[in-house]
Amino acid sequence: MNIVKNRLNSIDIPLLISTLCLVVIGILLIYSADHSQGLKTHFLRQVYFSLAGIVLLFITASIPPRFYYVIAYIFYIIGIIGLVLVLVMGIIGFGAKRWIILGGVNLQPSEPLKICLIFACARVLSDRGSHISYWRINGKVILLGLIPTILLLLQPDLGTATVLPVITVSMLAWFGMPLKIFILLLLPIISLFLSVAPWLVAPLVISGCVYLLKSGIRLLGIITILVICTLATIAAPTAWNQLEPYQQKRLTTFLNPAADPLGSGYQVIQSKVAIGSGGLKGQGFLNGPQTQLRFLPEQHTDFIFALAGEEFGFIGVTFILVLLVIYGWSGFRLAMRTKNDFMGFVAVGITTLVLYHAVVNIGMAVGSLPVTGLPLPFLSYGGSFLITCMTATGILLSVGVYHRER
Amino acid sequence: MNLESQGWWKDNRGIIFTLIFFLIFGILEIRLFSMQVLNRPDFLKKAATNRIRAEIIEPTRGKIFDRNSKLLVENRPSYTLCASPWTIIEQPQTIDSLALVLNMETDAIRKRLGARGWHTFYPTPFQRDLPFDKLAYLEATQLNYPGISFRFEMKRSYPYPETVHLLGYVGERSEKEVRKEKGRFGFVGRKGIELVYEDWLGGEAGVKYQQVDVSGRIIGESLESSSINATPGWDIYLNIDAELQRYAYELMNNRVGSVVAIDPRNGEVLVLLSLPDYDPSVFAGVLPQDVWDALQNDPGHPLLNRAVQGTYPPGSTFKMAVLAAALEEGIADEYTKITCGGGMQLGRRWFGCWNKGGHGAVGIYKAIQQSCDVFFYNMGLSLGADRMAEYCRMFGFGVRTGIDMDSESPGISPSTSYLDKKYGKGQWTRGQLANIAIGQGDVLVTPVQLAVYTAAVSTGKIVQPKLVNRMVNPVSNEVSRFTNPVRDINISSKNLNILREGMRMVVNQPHGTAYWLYNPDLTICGKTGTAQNPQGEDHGLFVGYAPFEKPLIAVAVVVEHGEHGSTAAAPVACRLMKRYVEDLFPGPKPAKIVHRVVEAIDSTETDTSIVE
Repeated sequence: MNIVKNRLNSIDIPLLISTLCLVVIGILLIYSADHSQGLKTHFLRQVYFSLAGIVLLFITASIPPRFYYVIAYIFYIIGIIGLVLVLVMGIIGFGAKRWIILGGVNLQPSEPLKICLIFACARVLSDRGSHISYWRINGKVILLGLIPTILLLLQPDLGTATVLPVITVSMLAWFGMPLKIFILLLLPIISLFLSVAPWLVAPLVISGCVYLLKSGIRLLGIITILVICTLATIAAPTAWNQLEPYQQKRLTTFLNPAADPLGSGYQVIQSKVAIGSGGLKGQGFLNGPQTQLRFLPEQHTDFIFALAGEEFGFIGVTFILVLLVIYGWSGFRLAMRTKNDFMGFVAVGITTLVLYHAVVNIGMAVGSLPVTGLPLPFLSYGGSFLITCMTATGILLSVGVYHRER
Repeated sequence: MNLESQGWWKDNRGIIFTLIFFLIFGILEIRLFSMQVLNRPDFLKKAATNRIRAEIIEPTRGKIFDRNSKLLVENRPSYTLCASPWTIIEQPQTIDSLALVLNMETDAIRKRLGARGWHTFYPTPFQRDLPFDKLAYLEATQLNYPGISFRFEMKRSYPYPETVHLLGYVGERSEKEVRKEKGRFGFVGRKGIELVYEDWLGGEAGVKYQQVDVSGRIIGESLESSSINATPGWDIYLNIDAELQRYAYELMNNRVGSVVAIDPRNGEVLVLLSLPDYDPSVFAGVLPQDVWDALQNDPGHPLLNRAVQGTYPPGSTFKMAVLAAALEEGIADEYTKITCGGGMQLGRRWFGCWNKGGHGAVGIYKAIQQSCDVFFYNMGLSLGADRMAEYCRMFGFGVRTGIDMDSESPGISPSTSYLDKKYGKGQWTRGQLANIAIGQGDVLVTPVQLAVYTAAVSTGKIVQPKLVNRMVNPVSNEVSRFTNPVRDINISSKNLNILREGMRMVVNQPHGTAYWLYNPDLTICGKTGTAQNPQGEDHGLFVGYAPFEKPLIAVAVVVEHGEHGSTAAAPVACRLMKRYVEDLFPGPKPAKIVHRVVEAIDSTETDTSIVE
């Protein structure tokens, strides 16, 4: 017990605090969402889930890295079996199979699978011997990511399916690749956001190109990249706008069948209106008309960020973003600090997992990204995902706790 | 690739990862700043349209009274069943159960609810004047019908069948009108006074801003925009004497035709009656196609307001205008004598007088009194079409009288150019001219024109007939009146007196065409007429005014297929005038003056029966 206590003394405080703050804010927001319907059910269940999550967080935080290393592949296989079971005997919800019932409990195996994949990839990446080639490791990791991605696409759950490649690629990047190749791959992705915030993205693209030019890539290569970037810049909004409303609806409903059962874009419009009308200071807790009159759809799950935007305003959402930034910064800091290679990759994977969800969810709420139905970590209502995030954070904390162990 | 050579990357990857993700969050932060701080007003506006519903407050429609403040229309309270389309479409079975309760087709309900688009929570009315038992049932079981609501509305009802054409009716606003009036869906005037005075009667709608939730449920009054009360419509006081109108209706005794009575001094319309009537309440709700078809195809054309829309050949009632023209133009004077042998030859056709035996020597008084056609053939031929048309127009024929009633017809006063246009230049004959002179053929007039013309003979003034006396604001009691334009007719009073004397003799001298209606207590002046009707029996007409000494009422009566003006129309007119002057006229009765007999020899020389 004493050992555990000592270990917990060395826990990463900023990470822990930001996580707990996010969980508390989430509970408040769900209370507000419930208030609009005169309910308390979601609020209470989220409180229970949070308490369970905190317990799990501390348990996972105190488990030594060796354990995760050993069970990595086993967990991965269990996770894959879970996904197969969903396809075979899953419950259909929102037009897709996502749940299985085990012992009376609804389980969504895709959530824990995200962590399983991180472990498996981390093990492959850290297990390397000097004789194994760079490309062979890459190939293995990509394969590990590809199998569950395909299974998720079959459900179909495209939103979650995008999470897995992102985690894999992020861990691969952490593993290392020549900077010029990394920038080369990154530039088109950043360009997608050029129309959203041109003054921020344009200098980045330009400086990226300048770097590539200096690092010896030929002019022809640079031009190719610039063309691709330009295409991405134009393509993102125009492709979206060029689509007929029903096509947009089809695309969004393909990404998330639950998203748009009534008029196309309705959810996003209401979400943007809620956020925009929040203003600097917000309409006040339990006082947002969009939320309380239930114009804001899915307000305790996918669009909980819009609820925050309306009731707590720019100051409130900035606070949430700052907490997420602290989370990310802590995650990458831990990944850098640890002497355990395996746990370093795990830390990167988990941090990427949480942040990717946050970016996609917030991007959707402000109307910059399509409706994918990815929840906002720690804030959105939903047991499976909250527990997954809390467990993952516990593991992330354990990286800090055991950072001296190889 | 040598992995150990990636030392730089190993040292810096944390910072680079952190920076990239700072960057992405920076973008999101900028986006949020632009939405919440820079563009907040736009979003606030959108949020407001989301949840603030402007609900129209329907004003009460103005009431309509007769000249003695008798109420002619009633505003009866009724309930309208409304439904919020958006809520209904989510629960399609509601429509089925409603259809069952209301005995309506589901498609009919769908059509009415969806008319303004399904994408609205705004309650759309779809069943007006809900019967009380159904109202009670739906009210009690409303939880089974999410989205329905009830609305209190004033329904217009018209208790008197004789005022149907006069008052007209109100109908539902079309979808286009509802949109134009920003959601006001109450009734609007469609015909008659209701239509012509819509701007006064309709009032101004108010608006109530209410806060609603996503299902359209009203949460409460909105505090952000201030509501405005409805302004009730103005009450209208007609010049119509409802009792006289009723009397005329009774006198007509379900015959087809029209009665118009005006006060010749100022043009106030005392009676405006058209028959047959119809039930205006069918227009209050959704008009079933079969009812509409039945009204349209009814051979009696009940929807036609004959008083202003019906055009008839004036027949012999026209003869005062022709005589006035002849006198003014110097073609005839007190010494003119034309011998009537029962007709005259014009070209290859024989133009008979109505009295086959002939009237003998006819002077100007006898020409009117006994309505000698041969006399007027001669007048017409001497005057020509244009001079006749000129005097017709002077008396108001061929132009709208300007009565405050919708769809007034101008009638036809045929001039040379008109006849040239209709028959071709030179293609029309002197016979047609002769026919016009006795009010047949191409000349067409409306009953209200006949009344104005008769009034003009009686007073020498052309009036603009007015149905409405004044509008009264029910809140402030402010009164608004029109000025009735009155202009002198360009005919000398000497000649007018000749016309009046002729008309007096029609009723008050033996051998007058309406002498059988002679009344020793009241000197009625009149003129009978028979309009040839190629479609069937001739129409009987009568125009007249009373009393001779001081005209208080001028009347025109048309009885379709009444054969003779003397038998069909004259009694209606004479009894009407008598009733008005003796019973209903509020002022002092003018004393009866015993008249010297003019042209006594002239009238005793002939021997005719007393028809036309």
